[in-house]
Amino acid sequence: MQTIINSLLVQGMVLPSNTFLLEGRVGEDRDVPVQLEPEAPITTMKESGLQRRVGVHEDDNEIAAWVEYRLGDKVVHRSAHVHLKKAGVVGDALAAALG
Amino acid sequence: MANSQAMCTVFKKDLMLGKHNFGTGVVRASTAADSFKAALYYATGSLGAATTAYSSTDEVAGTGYTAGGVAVTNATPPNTSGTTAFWTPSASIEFPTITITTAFDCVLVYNDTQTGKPAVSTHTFGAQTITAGTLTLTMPTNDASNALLRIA
Repeated sequence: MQTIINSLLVQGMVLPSNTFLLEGRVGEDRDVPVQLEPEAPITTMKESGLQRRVGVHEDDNEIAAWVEYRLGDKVVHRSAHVHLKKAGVVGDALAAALG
Repeated sequence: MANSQAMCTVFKKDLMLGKHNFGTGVVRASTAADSFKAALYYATGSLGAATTAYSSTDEVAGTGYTAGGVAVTNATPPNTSGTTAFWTPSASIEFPTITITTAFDCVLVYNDTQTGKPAVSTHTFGAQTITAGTLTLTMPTNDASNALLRIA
């Protein structure tokens, strides 16, 4: 979890440890990559013109954090950081068969 | 001390190093490590243990995403601890500046060197979409309990 939080903090986000979803704007007015229409080129907008939402999800498999920027009702930027905790790729069956 | 029946731990690691061949294998051009890639798949796909090779079927598409995915950084060779052999990419897998608006939840790691691009492993996560952003997949601890690939 700390790795994800550190990554978010590096990106200038404020993320209380018990927060699931944080709305609003925090920090300096940075340029944010945005795509205003599905086939439109990716451009940038000032963060101050957008609404930011940040979310975190954790379960046995992963810790996922994401940040969304909305322009009105439309999501114009969304990034995600998924930390794979432990892969379910263990060759027990192979070992049992040959061992 | 008595003899015991076991799969030798070094054999598990050597499988990852391509040292054994019980059937029809491949001709290697050198002793260098193969190149591996990671590709993303829509949540409607059916990848898993039965996946044999990279395929574009159900692979995501969108702005900034190149079919076939991105290179996997492999600077740390397979290792063993106890009776488990393991390997993990040595850096996060990153898909920078992409837009994929249909939910995806799976990454396929596959061999980009060998003919046919044989599959290595599939890994699932909570469904995501990305808009003009970056997807970063960070790796688990590279040890016998958590590594991305483990032969126990």
